This record gives sequence, C-alpha cells and structure tokens, in this order.
Amino acid sequence: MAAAIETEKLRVVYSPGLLKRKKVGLAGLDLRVDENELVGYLGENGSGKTTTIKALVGLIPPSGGSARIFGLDVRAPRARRALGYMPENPYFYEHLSGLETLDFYGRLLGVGRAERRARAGELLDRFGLAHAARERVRGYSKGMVQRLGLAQAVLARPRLAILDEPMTGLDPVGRFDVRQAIAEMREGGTTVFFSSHILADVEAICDRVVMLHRGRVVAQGRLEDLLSQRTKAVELAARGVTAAGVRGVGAEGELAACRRVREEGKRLYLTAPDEEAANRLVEAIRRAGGSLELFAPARESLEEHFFRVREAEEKGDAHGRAEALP
Amino acid sequence: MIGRIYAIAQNTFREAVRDRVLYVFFVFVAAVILASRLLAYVSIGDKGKVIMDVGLAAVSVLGVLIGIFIGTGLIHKELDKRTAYTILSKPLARWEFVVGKYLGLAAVVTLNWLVMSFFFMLYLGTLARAGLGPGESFSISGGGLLFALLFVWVEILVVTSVAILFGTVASPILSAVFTFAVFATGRLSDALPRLVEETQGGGGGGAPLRGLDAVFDAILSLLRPVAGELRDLFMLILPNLTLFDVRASAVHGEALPPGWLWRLLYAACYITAVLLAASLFFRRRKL
Repeated sequence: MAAAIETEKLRVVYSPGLLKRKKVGLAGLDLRVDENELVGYLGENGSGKTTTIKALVGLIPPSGGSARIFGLDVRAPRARRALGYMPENPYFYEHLSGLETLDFYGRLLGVGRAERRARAGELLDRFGLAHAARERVRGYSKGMVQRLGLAQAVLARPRLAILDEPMTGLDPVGRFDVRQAIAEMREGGTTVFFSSHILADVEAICDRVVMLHRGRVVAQGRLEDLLSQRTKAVELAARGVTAAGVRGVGAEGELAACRRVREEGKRLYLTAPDEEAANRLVEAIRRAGGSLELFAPARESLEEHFFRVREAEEKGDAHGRAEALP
Repeated sequence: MIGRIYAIAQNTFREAVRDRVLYVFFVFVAAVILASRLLAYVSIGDKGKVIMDVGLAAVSVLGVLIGIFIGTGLIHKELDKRTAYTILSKPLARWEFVVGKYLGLAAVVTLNWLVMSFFFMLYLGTLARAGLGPGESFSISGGGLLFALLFVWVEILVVTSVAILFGTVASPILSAVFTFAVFATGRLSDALPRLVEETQGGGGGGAPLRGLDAVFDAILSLLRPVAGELRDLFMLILPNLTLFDVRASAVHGEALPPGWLWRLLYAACYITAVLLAASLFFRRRKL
C-alpha cells in the first residue's frame, strides 16, 4: 500500500535573485508517513518544516528528489484530491462570509452544491462558527480564522490532512479545540501530519514524531520508543527501612549517587539516576528488611529529547566543519 | 476544470464589486463626458465629432486604467495576503488559477465598459435630441459608434491580459509601469516601421555630436544594422492596438472597419498567447 506521504532525497533550493546566494530549504529529505498515522513534525524556526509542507501541497516545486502523496507525484494537481491543508496563520478573502468561504473551497474541490451546503453548515457548527456564518471574514478573530482554516481543510473529508502550526497564536481553549479536532480527524480515518512548536501538544496527541534540523531528518519514531530509550531518573519509595539501613547492607555508593534521599515517617524516598542503580537499590532495600512501594522510571519529555537531539546535531555540525578545515 | 475556473473568476469579480472599485471610475466618466462638452464649446469645427472623439477616448483610457490597476495587483495580492495558499493546495492547476483570475477581471472591465458605454450613448442621444446649441445639429452613426465601442472593449481585454502577465512576475508598481508602456507603444505600432526607416536612413554628416547625443548616436549606430529585425520582434511581441482604434470611422460616420473579423481573431490569439506565458511564469513560482 502506498504511503500517505513519501519523500526521497527531496531538495528545495531558493533562488532569491541573480546576484544573491542560493538558499537550501531542504537538503535531501527522506520522510514516510503511513496511512492512519498522526505524526508531529518538529524543528526550530528555519529548519525546513514549512518548506516541506509547501512542497507536499504543491506550493513549491521541488528542486530535486521526489515527493508523493498516496503514490502520486505532488506536482500533479490530482495528487491534492486526497489532501486537506491548513497553512500557518491562514488568510481568507475578507469580502466573503464564513459560509461563502467554505462554499468557494467546496467548488474548487468539486463538491456538489447540495453537499457543499450541508457540509459547510455542519463544519461551521462543529467549529463553533455557526453564529458568524453570514458575517464577513474581515470581522473574524484570529481564533475564528484558525477554526475556519481547519474547517476548509477537512471540507471534502480528505484521506490526509497537512496542518502547518495549527495551534500557533491560540489561547489554551483554542489549542484544546484544535487538539480535539485533530483527534477527531484521526478517529474518522484521516492521516494527520502537522508541524508545531508546542511540544506538549505534540506529545499529547501524536503517534510518531519526526524531528528536522537544517533541512534533514535527525530523529524519528514512535513517541514511546523515542522517549523510553532514555530514563532520566527512577523514583523509589520503600517502607520499613532507613537510609542508614541501606548503607549498612553495602549500598553506600548507590545511595551517594541518588539525586534525592528523604525519610518521611516510616518511608524512605530515593531518586536514582538510572534503572541499573535503581535495581541495585531495590536489592539493598530488600536485604535491609524493607518493602518496596514505588518504582517509577521518569522518562525524558519530548521537549528534553528535542533539545538533546538538537544539541547533538549542533555538536556534530561543528565537528564536521572543524574536520573539513585544512 | 470549468467549475474551478468559474469559481475563481466569480470570486475575483465579486471581490472587485464588493470593494466598490468601479464606483470611483463612474465619477470620472461623468466628469470626462462633461469635459467633452466643454471642449466642444471652445473648439472650432464639428463639435459633435469632438464630443464623440473625447467620449470614446475616455471610455478607452478609463477602461484600460481599471484593467491595469486591478490586473497588475491581482495575483500579487493573492500571494502577499497568502490567500493563494489554500487555493493552490486544492486540485487546481496554476494555469486554471491564472485564467480564472483573468476571466474574473475581464468580467469587471466588461461591466465597467458596459456602464460607461451606456451612459455615453445616453448622453449622445440626449445631445442628438436637444442639439448642441442654437442652430447646431448633432447626428450619431449608431452602427459606427457601437463598433467603435466594441473595439475599445477588445483593446481593454488585450491590455488587461498584459497586466495579468506582468502581475505574475513583477511587483504591482513595476507591472503597472510595464503594462502602461506596452499600452502606449501598442498604440504607436503604426509609427514603429516609420521610426525604423528614419533610423536606418539617419547618421553621417552635420556637426560632430557631444555628450549624451554622442552616446545615443553610438547606440543607434550599433542598432542600425539590426533595426529591421528588432522592429519585427517588437511587432510580434507588442500588441498592435492601432487595429482596435476605429474611433475615426465612428466619428466620421463610416461603416465597419475593413478586416474587422481578423482584428477580433488577432485579439483572441494575442490574449491566449499572453495567458499561456503568464501561466508558464506562474507555474515556476515558489510561493
């Protein structure tokens, strides 16, 4: 089965002008998103997220490599039949009302008149815009425009939705609404690929993340795989034992390595630096006659993972540059 | 395909109408037509012909100005305001977008032309009934006037397509300047061969030239051997707008201009070629 999105060595080079240097937007991007996945696309500003998305939706012709949507070359308009797209900070014709806007996009998508009307009403209602359906977009708030953007993206029930920073600039309620809408799309069988700076949102809803740095994928995988690879600490709680008791059974080194040692009533709380140290502490607690009540590995958050990968890449780039010097 | 192009065209038309773009020009039309009356009073000879000539020129120039000012900014505005993003990400080819935009603008300039023509004919009809003044009669050749207006409309459509072409590659101000230059040179198409002949025949003799005159003379000397080829190239690229200037026939009450069908066919081919070029340029554009 063809992937929802598949790029091979995708390159995008911008030519600002005859005398200016060319700028590489994407440097051979390999990306695959399977059907029914909900994938978060991460990267700092200028890493190439929006460029990737623009190349996928036909706004930027690729300079090299290939990009396909459900097996069709993105340069062919028919590849976009299965696609719903919401740009970052979407803009719509200010002279049209919300209802007219959806009707206009429905016509571009080849949706019949009766279905257009029914679907537009349904979506305006779903995204809380029914009260402003006949108001011109000129008078809409940022949140309302963002919701209208989502409505037009799912108008023709696309198999794939590509959303560029859908939560940017929204208040917590707006972000929650967008998250919920994305979850609904996924439940309805739509593959969702979205970029975001808000890592907590990505962590909350995505199956898989792809991290981009300077136009290249530097990490990708399912969230549980990416984040379980690294345990940043293990919280332990034991009953009927003291720190002195643990020390007494020969675990002085492990105890000294703990980030936190606290006695409270008849309980001993420890924060071990990793799972190996935690396992040795569990043995010591048992030997000292205590009983273990809590063993909780604290996983790295997506944000911490993102910064660690980014730092490693920066170091790698600097190392590469240093090696390249004569 | 037709449905998508129609949706783009209808939206373009609706935007221009809702933005009340046309209203400003109605005021200008009224002012210019009244000015023609004033000119008729101060001119010597057939005052009726002066009014006809000035009125037709006003319909032509104002129609062309609307085409240029809206047409050159039309696609730039879509890119600047990023409304094109959600449109071009739909299953729509870029040429469909360009053609839709042109047709929408063509509808705008046509409506504007219709309104101006209607008021102009109404005005002439009133003058024909009431007369220009004591003892001065005024007659209109209805057929000639209608054909003159029809060719003014065709000229507006041709210039509008050029405005769209420049709008796909340059900023609105530059595009407006280029389109206006094309309009002006297109109107002088008949004079171009004469100019070339004079250039080829010139040079030599007289006092030695100095400063800028010497530079221009040197450039002309370089161009002189290829002047004929350059003329042919310009004649091919630039629209021959003199073909659509049949005002003289109307003013003098003459019948249809010779080869009128070929002139219309030329306009259709020219517009098609220009839109094709605009689509090719726009297809390569990174948004």
